[in-house]
Amino acid sequence: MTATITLEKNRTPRQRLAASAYQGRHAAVTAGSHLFDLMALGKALILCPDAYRKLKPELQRHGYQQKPNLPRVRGKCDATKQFAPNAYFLVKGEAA
Amino acid sequence: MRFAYLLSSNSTPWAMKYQVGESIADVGVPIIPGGSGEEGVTKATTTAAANCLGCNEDTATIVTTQQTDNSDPERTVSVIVDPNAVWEATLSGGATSGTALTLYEENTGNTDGLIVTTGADFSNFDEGAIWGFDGNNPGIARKIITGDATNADVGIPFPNDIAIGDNFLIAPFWPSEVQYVQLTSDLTQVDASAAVDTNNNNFIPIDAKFRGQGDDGRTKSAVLLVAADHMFGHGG
Repeated sequence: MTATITLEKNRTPRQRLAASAYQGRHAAVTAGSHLFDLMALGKALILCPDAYRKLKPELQRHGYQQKPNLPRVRGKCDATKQFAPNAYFLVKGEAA
Repeated sequence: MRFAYLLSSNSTPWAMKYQVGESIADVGVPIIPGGSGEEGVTKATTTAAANCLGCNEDTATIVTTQQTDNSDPERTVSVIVDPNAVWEATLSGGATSGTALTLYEENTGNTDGLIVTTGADFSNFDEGAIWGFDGNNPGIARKIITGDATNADVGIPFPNDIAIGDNFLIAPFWPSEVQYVQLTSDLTQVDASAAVDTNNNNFIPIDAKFRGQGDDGRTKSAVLLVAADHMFGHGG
């Protein structure tokens, strides 16, 4: 007895792009743990105002700051996974 | 390249994160979707940026092996994906970023402000830009309406006479023309030594900062670009 498994292959650039879009932290990972992982990797951070206020001391300790030409963005908060229309955009010190 | 501003009423650009399909070691590199079979987004090339997403704001090293501590090997870059984004790129005098622009020294003199003659061949810069570095017309730019083996002719005269010894800088584009650019090898600056191009279809110059000697024109002149073929724009 045979079975046929059909996989829909990503064909267009938009389909391939959608497949590589970052889904955010997994549900089993806490926001704090996830953010510390991102900071350890030196990743740029997108934080809603609430998350930024809570984490500001840690961000400063890890050398994160806003870029003068790009202080805010619209995007998904790395902590809450919610869309933030005026999120803080922070990068590690040497990239700012 | 660095984010400059948006060509829209909204002042806050969109940012998204994508898994990388190759290691990306520099910030400000144009990012495009990965090809078929690639793990994620990749860098554009010096002359092509089809389906451009924007430029990245952080770096990433791709990881394709499962980790011994079971940590997630996903590696992402943050990209400003706003199709209305305008990018500022420093002009480089060669394919290597950071190369100072070449000086072109006037050797004949011209009293009507219309012809620059330096002994250089300006054929590759026909329809490009020329601006004063020092001398009588520092920081003043004009479009080269005819660039040939001996002269760079401008249609609108420089306000002051072109004197022997005056130095000029040139670029292979004139903002508002349907032209494209060639990027440096690390994709972070524009190679101003390349010829004027009308085929690349990567980035269109919409404005420029043609700087003179007093503003470090050889190392800080810049061009402002929009993506000609943005993934989320009308051409995407």
